[in-house]
Amino acid sequence: MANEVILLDFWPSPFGMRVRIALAEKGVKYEYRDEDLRNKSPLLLQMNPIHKKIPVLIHNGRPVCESLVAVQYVDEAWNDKSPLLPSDPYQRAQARFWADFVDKKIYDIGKKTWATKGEELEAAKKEFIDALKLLEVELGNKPYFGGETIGYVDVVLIPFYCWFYAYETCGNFSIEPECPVLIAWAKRCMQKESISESLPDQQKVYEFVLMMRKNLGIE
Amino acid sequence: MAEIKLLGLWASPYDRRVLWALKLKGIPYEYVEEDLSNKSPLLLQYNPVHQKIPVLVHGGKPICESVIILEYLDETWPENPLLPSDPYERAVARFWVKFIEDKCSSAWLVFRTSGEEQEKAVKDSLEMLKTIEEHALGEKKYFGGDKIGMVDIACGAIVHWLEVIEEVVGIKILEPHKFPRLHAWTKNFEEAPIIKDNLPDRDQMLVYFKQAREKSLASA
Repeated sequence: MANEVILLDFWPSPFGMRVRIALAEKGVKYEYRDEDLRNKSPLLLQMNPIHKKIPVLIHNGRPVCESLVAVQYVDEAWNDKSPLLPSDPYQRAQARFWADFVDKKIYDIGKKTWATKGEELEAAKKEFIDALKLLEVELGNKPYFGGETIGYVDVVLIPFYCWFYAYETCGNFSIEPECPVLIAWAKRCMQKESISESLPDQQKVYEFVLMMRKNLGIE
Repeated sequence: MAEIKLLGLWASPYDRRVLWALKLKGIPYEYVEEDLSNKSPLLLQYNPVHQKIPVLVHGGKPICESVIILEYLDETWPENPLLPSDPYERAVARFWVKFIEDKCSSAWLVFRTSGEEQEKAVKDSLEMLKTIEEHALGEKKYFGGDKIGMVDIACGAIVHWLEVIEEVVGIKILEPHKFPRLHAWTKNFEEAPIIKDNLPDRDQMLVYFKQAREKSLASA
């Protein structure tokens, strides 16, 4: 049976980027479809009736929803190359823990750096940097979270890098002086084609965020 | 075999999930009850990031977050598997586990709040149950088929605790006529051999959660 892979996505979504990277790492050919989230396609509504959200990976007509579930699925369905999760169960548990940490912290707090002001913004910036610092400790002096090669946590975290410029500019702070090790890791990741081709330009993301701020009535 | 410790709290559904998995797989372990108002140095050492239970410690190495612990147990002790072997079916199971994790907070809000806030939490809980009833449960005995799997364990903890919450707040949410599939599933799950011998004492739970609700409302 032919391997038909479609990804329903939205270009600035860090969750969508995770799946793009995973597919690229595995060398999977797929059809990318950008959704208009104000006018969701019938396919999206049919394939993800519960959340009606992207990304949705459709493999031979069957949908996989939720970015972390989809990344793990890609890892297991195309297990002939570039393993994303380690083989040792304890290392896998650690990778899942840090991916879960990224999900609990980075998106929501990151959003506050461009969507809030005053005291709420200051608290968000501190929480954001603290979370990144914990990730730096976990990275240690390894080139990637996955060790010598890109792994699960790298795939889960790196998409937020293209949002950093928007966070910093809107929130008026700078990440690199506080987290040099993490920024060095991010730049190292961007050397990889599977990542650089999956992430949009940070300036475009910034313009998108400015538009969102306008829509939300934030000055 | 390296020693296994479970740091937990008897009244926590997250803790219970791990206990059920350990029992289903016949894995021996030592249970350490934590006092969350006075966290032990061991807990702070093993879960510095979240400082929460449950924490499974295997040969001195800690694993945190109940769902991550379940996956770890399943991979390290593959007999009586909790996840199917086919990648697509595993993805479906993981989707439902995540759904339950994301939505079960509404059940806790029913318990912690009153008035309008509670009304909204009841509405959200009903929606969560409706989605599970209509989309997750098929005609089989359990979520994954004929045997108890990860989705059953994840859901079972929340549903069992919901039954206590309903009694404490005096609001019936999981009504059998509204959720026939879920009701049938709950009976199958709670009467299953190992599960029924490892349910927390209902009376003790009622006392515990009545007190906890009073505290919660007082500090609101």
